[in-house]
Amino acid sequence: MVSKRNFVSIVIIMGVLLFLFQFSMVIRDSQSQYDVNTDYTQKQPDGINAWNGETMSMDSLTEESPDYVLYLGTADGEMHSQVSSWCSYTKRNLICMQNVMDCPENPGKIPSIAILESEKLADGDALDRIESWEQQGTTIIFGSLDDALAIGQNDRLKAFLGIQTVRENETELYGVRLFPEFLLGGGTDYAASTKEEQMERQDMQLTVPWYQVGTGTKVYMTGIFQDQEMKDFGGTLENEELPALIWRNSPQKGFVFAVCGDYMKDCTAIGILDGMISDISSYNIYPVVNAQNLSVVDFPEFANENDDAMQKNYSRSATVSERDIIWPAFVALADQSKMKITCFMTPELDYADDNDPQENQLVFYLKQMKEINAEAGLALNSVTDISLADKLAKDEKFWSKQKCDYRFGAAYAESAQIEDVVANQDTAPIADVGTVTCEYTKNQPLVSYCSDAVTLQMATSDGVDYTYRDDLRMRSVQSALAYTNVMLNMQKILWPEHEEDSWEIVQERFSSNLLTFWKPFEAFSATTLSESDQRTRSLLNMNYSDTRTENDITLQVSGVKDTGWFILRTHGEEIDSMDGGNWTELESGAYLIETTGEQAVIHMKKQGLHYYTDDQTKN
Amino acid sequence: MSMTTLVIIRFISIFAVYFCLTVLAPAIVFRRWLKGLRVAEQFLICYVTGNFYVINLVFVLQLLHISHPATLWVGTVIPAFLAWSKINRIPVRERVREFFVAAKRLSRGTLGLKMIWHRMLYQILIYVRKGGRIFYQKVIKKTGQWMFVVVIVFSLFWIYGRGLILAYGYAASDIPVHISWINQMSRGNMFSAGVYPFGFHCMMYYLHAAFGFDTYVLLCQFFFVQVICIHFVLLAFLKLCCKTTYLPYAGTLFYVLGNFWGLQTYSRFYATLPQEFGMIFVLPSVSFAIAFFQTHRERLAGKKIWRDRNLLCFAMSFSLTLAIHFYGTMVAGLCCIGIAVGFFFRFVRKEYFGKIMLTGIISVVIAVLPMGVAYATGTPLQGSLGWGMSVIHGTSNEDALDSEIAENSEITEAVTESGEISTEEENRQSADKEQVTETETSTEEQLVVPKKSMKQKITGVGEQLAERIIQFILPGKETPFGYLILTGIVVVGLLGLALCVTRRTDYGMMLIAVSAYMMIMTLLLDAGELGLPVLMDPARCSIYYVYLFIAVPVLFVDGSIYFLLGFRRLNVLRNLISLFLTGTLLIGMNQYGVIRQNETFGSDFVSNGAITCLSNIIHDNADHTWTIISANDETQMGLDHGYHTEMISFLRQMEYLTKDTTITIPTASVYFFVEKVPLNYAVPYVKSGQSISKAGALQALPNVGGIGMYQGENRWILMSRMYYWAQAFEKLYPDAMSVYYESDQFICYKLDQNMYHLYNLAIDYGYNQIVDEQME
Repeated sequence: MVSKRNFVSIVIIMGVLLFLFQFSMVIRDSQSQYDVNTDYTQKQPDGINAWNGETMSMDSLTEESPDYVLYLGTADGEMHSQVSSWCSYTKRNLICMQNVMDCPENPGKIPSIAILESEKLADGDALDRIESWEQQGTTIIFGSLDDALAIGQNDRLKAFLGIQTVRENETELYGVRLFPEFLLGGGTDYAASTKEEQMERQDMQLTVPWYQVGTGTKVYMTGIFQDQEMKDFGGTLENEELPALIWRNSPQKGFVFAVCGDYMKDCTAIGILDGMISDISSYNIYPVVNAQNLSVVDFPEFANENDDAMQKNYSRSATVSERDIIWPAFVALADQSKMKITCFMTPELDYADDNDPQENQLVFYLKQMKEINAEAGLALNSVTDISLADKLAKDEKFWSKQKCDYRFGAAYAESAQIEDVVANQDTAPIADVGTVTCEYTKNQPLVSYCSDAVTLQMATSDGVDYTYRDDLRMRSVQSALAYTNVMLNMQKILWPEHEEDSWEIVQERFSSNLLTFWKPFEAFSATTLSESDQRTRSLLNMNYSDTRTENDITLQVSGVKDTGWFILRTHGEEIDSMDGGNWTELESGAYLIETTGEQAVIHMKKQGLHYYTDDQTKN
Repeated sequence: MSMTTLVIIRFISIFAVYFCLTVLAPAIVFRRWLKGLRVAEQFLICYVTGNFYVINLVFVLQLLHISHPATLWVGTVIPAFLAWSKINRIPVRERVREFFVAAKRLSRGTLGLKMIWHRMLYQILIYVRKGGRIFYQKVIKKTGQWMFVVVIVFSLFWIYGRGLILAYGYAASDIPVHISWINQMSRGNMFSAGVYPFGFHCMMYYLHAAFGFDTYVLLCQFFFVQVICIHFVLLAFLKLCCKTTYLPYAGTLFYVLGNFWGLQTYSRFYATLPQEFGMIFVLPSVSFAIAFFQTHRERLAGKKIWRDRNLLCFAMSFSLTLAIHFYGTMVAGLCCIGIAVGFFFRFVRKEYFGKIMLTGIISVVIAVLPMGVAYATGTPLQGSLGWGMSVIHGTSNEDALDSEIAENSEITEAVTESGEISTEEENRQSADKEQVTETETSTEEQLVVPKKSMKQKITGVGEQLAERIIQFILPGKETPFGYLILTGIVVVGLLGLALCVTRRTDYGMMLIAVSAYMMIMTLLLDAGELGLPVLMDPARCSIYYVYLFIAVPVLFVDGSIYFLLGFRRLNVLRNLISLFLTGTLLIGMNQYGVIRQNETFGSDFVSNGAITCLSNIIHDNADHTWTIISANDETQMGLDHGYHTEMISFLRQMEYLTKDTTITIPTASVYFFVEKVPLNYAVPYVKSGQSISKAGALQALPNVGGIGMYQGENRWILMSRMYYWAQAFEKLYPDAMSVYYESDQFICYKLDQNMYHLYNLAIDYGYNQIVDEQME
């Protein structure tokens, strides 16, 4: 028997415990400003101030003209659009010419960089002209080497490119090896250890000509063979003889880069170009976005749609599955990856059925998102054939009923819908939306203005079907822009078509990819799409210049409201201190720079030996 | 950290370790036995014992192929501990038992930490008091002497020590050979180049293996430790000989500071060489032999050899001379003959004769045994040893010299194969050849000269000796100074006789002994001229000559004072006179400007930049991740840490460049050492000291064998070529190739490589020949 005294004591203790546990939760819940989007910034027509290079013509150049990049090839081609984007991001002026021979023989100023779409443009007299530019210090970049046979027969071109011999016009690689320091994130081998992995991930261009480069060259990416294949070459094949894919030659005063493959035809090009310039410069500083986004599209959906499939797979309705199964997984993922999630909500995906969205779910998710610093956005897609205007109208009915003051700053639209979004940008509920995201496509720049007031921040990967090519692209974009937007589209979970579309499989693949491949870039800022939007605008509007005297790099920044972000790449040189901003080391010889004003001075460490002598003059 | 600081720290570490090992540790172990002995005697006993033990320990472990840092430590610490407990009667078992009892009580809580702490403090207090007492007795009460010690140390630092911080590299060309031999010992391969007196190498190996000093650091810096030991052994010897307190300091300072001594009498002191290390043990042999003969026969009666401290120490020191370098043994042996002359009446007595002879034989056996074992197990004799053997066998000079030259050429070949150099041996050969020629010439001249009377002959020999002394000992001085030295030697002998007559026999006989062995040394110095076997070339002989001669003036003055004021009561007066004379000597030397001041420091073999870079490279990189391309000896200097490629091989590979020429170096970092002002490497030429230039690079790549391509003008060509190669490569790879270090004299380039895709270092740098049309 419990005495009355003990009973009272137990009750008091239980009461105290109950109070202690619940008190904090009650206070937190009551104080939660879930209906305020803290990442949101009022939409502004910043696009009118976007940086645009000077309009230049080869015929009117003088010595006083600014430095420029000369693109030689088809205007509006895939490579041209990437080069154009790169020039826009790195604030370089661009001139595009169809052929080398279209350029004046003695331009008023030779290009600092000349990018050739193909080696076919450098034949005969054209090669003379290119060689003369190189002798004057121009960096020549061959964006692709298409015709191995022709190259093999052209000794001059071979020597100019640093090719010792064209060993085979076509060879089958097992994988690709990317060497460290060219792109951020270190070196890696794009070659699978198992057949399954090879099938699943290998999508690099493996059928390539075998260019064996000679003395004076530096290789950044090579093809690799399997061990057995290496033995087939008599066991004498040295690493240095492997097929070169991206390399550099130093014939005279300038440098000649060559890319074998189609790497310059998507946004991988922007990182490659920055890698090239960084490698030949004593230091290279360029502006970046510095935003790591994790976008979840069509989550949460507030209607119980596709109930049969959901019941079959999860024994729950769609909304309950999302709340009890999927959301906890996202909370864990956000915690582990240290990334911020932007959830693109949709009242419903199927506007043809009778399932209306449930009105009591929104507050729950907003509170939950607030807990993990996530942001809510709007998903503008659907599974039914409905125009954007109609969807917006229907959705607005739902949102208006919620009596919630939350201002949506970001929206997801399919790439084909971007124009419609721009057309309806002032229509509720997207009237406040300042940035739009869409799935990855080659047809649009990664980050750009859709309109003066709305930016586009394209996804860089879906995070689930992650191939080697995706990884190379991701590294390249991270190197060039410090930007990523991993987009998980929940539509195929809610409307599954295959067994692989079940959440447990998708979640496993998504989280393992995210926690593995994005780990080297943890030093970049985790952002929501609205935060990222501000940084994107900064990048697009910014202009900058840099100078170096002794150990000080002075950075002049304009067009930025508050904070500018840059990547500084050195060859092992270390930063000592910085005025007018902050810095973070990304990896050896690479730093993330934050500027807080119009001028920043980076003080590099004086290079010195551990044991020095008094008569030392330089080191 | 500056290189100066590094060098000082390294030197202090090496000195501290060597001093603790060879002086402090034996002093602790033999504490009870050493009680009551004079400090100088204690020092000599400890120093000889410490060196003898360490060197023979290494010999034993190496011959058993179990030499390892662990076995070296075990072989040092455990026997030292056992000896310490036995000699000092420490009840080890009792102490251990007490320790366990205390531990037990501590664990049970019956003994508190506070109590243990108090006990420890009490013990520490006792030791501090004892230390204080010793300090008062030995230092405070002898402040005057310690001040002279400080002056000697300061003088040594000024004259020799500055070399440490002004020239980091080694100062003798055969040091790479010794580094190689020591490095081979680390790989279990003693006598790698044949059987040779390895005592010096054993000590260096011990310091390297047990304490982690790099061999190149030891061989660059140990010379100053040697110098300190050489001078302090001299001081200790003089202290033991003299009857006055301060004259030994005067003698030592006279030796250190005098600028009248021939350059070759001390120039080798700037290098860490076996001969100079072996020289340290000559005077202890002499000192202990004299001390033995000064022991009255009553005390010796019935005493076994191993019970006689002087005989034991004599055996050890004589054995050490033989184990380290034959020249030291020769000199010590000649000194022993002199001592036998001086103590002739005791020497021939059976109490002395049998013991000293037996001790001599034992000491030789001890020294020869490791070499004998190695020889018996199939290791051939090293070149120098063959020459030594021929001298012992009494074969003709020429034959011996020829065989030595033949053997030395083998060494040079072997050495050159591994990129090492030995020009000193060559120099010695040429000097010896000259010597032989001179001897032949003088013999021929003698054939035609008419017969002289005995008086004329003696006068002639005297003149010859005096001239020889002037030539090698006091260059630039007048012949009378030579006569003065000879007279001094004779007078010391006569003074000894006078002292014997006045019944101060021990001291008198010692003077005669000193006089006798100096006479023998004088004959050795002039052996070639006198038609005697040239056991040692005069240049080398002069090093020992001056070192041993210092005793003559000191003992002359000391003996004179003792002769005139020999009574015990006049002890203070004698000391005051000696103090006065010492002070007068120093002031006089200063007044007459005969103090060494303008020493030049520098290495003609390794530049300061190269040593600075090597130190940094070892510090900055993980072991075996780097390669140095140079014309130096980094093969052996950095053997434990990285790799080395010969500059000549590197340039030769691309001299005739085709498109298929490939040179790769499979390490992450490659360093290129270029001397902007190339060293001569012991071979000066007309434009010595000129900077590298395009004119140098335009010259044909030297195509000579051996080390010729690294000497004189060839080195200038190579360095010029290497510089322009580096410039061309830096232009090709500005991101990968960088200047690692640069001074007015030296530049080092660093190349960082991707290990998965190495750079082809074969390039057209403008001075090599392109044989492939395509490349043109």
